[in-house]
Amino acid sequence: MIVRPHLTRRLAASGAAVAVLALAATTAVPQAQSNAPYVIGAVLTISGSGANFGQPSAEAIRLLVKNTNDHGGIKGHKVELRLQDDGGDTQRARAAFSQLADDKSVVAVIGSSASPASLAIKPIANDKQIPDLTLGSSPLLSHPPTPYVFQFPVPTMLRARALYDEMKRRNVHKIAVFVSNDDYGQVSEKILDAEAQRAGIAIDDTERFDAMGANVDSEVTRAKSKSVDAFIVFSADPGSALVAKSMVNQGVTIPAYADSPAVNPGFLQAAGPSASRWTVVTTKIDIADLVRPNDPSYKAIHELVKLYPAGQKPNHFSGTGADAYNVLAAALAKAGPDRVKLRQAIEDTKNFDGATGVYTFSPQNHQGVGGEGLALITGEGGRWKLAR
Amino acid sequence: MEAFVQYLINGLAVGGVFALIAIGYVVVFRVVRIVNIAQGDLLAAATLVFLWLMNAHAGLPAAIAGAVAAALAAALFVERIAVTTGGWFDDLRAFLLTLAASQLIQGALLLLFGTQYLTMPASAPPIIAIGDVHVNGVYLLVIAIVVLALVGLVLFLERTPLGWAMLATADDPLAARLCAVPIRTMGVLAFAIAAVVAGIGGAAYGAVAIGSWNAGTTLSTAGFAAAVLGGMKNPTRAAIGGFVLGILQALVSGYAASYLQDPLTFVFLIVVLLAPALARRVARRRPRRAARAAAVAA
Repeated sequence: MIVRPHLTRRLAASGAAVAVLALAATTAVPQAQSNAPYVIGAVLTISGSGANFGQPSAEAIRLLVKNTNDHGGIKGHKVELRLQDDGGDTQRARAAFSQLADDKSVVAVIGSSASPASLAIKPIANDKQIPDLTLGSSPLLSHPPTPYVFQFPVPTMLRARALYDEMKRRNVHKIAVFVSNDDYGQVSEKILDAEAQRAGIAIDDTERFDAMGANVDSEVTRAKSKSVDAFIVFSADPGSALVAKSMVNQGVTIPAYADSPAVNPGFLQAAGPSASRWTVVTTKIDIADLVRPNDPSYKAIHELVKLYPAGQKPNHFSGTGADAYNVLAAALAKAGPDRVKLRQAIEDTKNFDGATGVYTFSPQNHQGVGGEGLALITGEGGRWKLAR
Repeated sequence: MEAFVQYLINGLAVGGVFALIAIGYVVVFRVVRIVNIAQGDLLAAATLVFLWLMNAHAGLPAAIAGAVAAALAAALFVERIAVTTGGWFDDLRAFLLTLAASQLIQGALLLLFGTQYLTMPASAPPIIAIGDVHVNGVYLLVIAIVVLALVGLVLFLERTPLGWAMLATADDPLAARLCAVPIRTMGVLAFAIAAVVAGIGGAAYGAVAIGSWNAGTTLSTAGFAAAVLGGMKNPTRAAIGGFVLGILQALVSGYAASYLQDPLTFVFLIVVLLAPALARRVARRRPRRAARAAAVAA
């Protein structure tokens, strides 16, 4: 191999250029003026394997910001969205969040999309005293509550509980648990264990699998051999579809239960007619057409749905993103852009009807939503419908 | 017993896909001396196009043709970046260029297909009973296709003038050039063969797994491991490496847990790669120890 010194020199030069650019980016910004726009930061997972979480939320927030500005902004202030992608990477999330927090014009940050990146952001938000409206669902994000972090998804525990309640109703006593071998799967496994004990359901088999693997045939074969009454799947995409596909391939016809990542067209495609044996817990926005006008979530869901162009629609990730933005917008209208006052206004939010459920925060409770907005759905003819 | 046969058949089907990726690595590596780390992405591209066409009811032949075409387009793109334009770098820069190409292919797939994954249109699988064991016929078909593709490739390399020219380029580019073999064309041809194999592999993978824009990374790693197991020279041995890896992974997931399959695969790889060196070391030590013992005795 020929050594080419000019290559290293060029690398060093480009490194220096990057450093200069980074410095330029952190220099002072003009202070907010009377009619200056409200700058909202967002750190979401738009690329990488977690993009399924982040992209729908980002799209919902983008549409809502545009909608706000089309209607004159918040009390005459236009809203400016500064969206950063963390690729699901904790390091990138930390860097992006710090950058937004150091910019005095940014009033609050929405994000991140998944729990690991959100947990990485949490201490920085409290350190730099900027409200963080997180879309991650790990219980550690709000238990115990910290002053500046507010959580928007329905906790995993309540989703697990909803599925177990349904199992008890259908006389399911012995189950096999399938969890993806990632942060979400590991946290879910503990919650599923604890909630199963509470519900009096026996877990006879636990399969931890790679959601990005080729298939889960071996796991399904083994779980089948334990003669359980049902499978329950808490997996990142496309894990639920992998389980559904393997069940079809091996002729396993017992009922199956899954957490909300299963709600997507790819799952229905993989499961085909067997989707009717699946019960999936999610929020009502995934079955927007079936939500009744007297439902507290009706207004928030339909105001969001109508912002989407024909042929596109929001899902549960869009719903939590939209709720975070709407709670923030309401707090901004009340308290203005001062971060400390804004934090207080978010904490004072009471009975706010969102797409995910009804939000109430307090100093003791930064996990704003309960299980009332959950829906159990099942597949039929390539579409979702209410399970009961 | 039934479980074991299921694991074995699943392992053979997935291993067959690894085998096809491994063959792609070997063919390209032998002719242009480049480890094309984008090989798994060629297959991922083929898988997505195949599944997209299957779901659009284009029919199996059209879907396979589309898969091969997609892999070809991606492979020629890699070839253009990493070989022709770079001017046959015989070093790490070429490897880096294929890595860059891999990321670009993934980006293109993300733009074209989004984050949504695709699967075969769901239908009742053809179940074939072998004794007490019920086997999905699609898996057997996939295994058969992989074996056929392998046989076809070996026949091409060993029985056709074009194949000889390729092997000649692989063995000694200078001598091949002196014999009027257009070695640049041979380089492109190597990529084309890798692409055809990846196209067929993509269709096979689509039948037994799920297509997603970022599946290529995992596939590249597994295929590379298989190729190295097979010695990076001989397509048949690389294919055997692929099957061994697939079966190993299926057995690990079946009898242990699937999250252990990657670590255990690499433990296995380390053992296989280091076994000869370790054996040599042990062989060298033994006489020395015997001599020392003799000295002490004296």
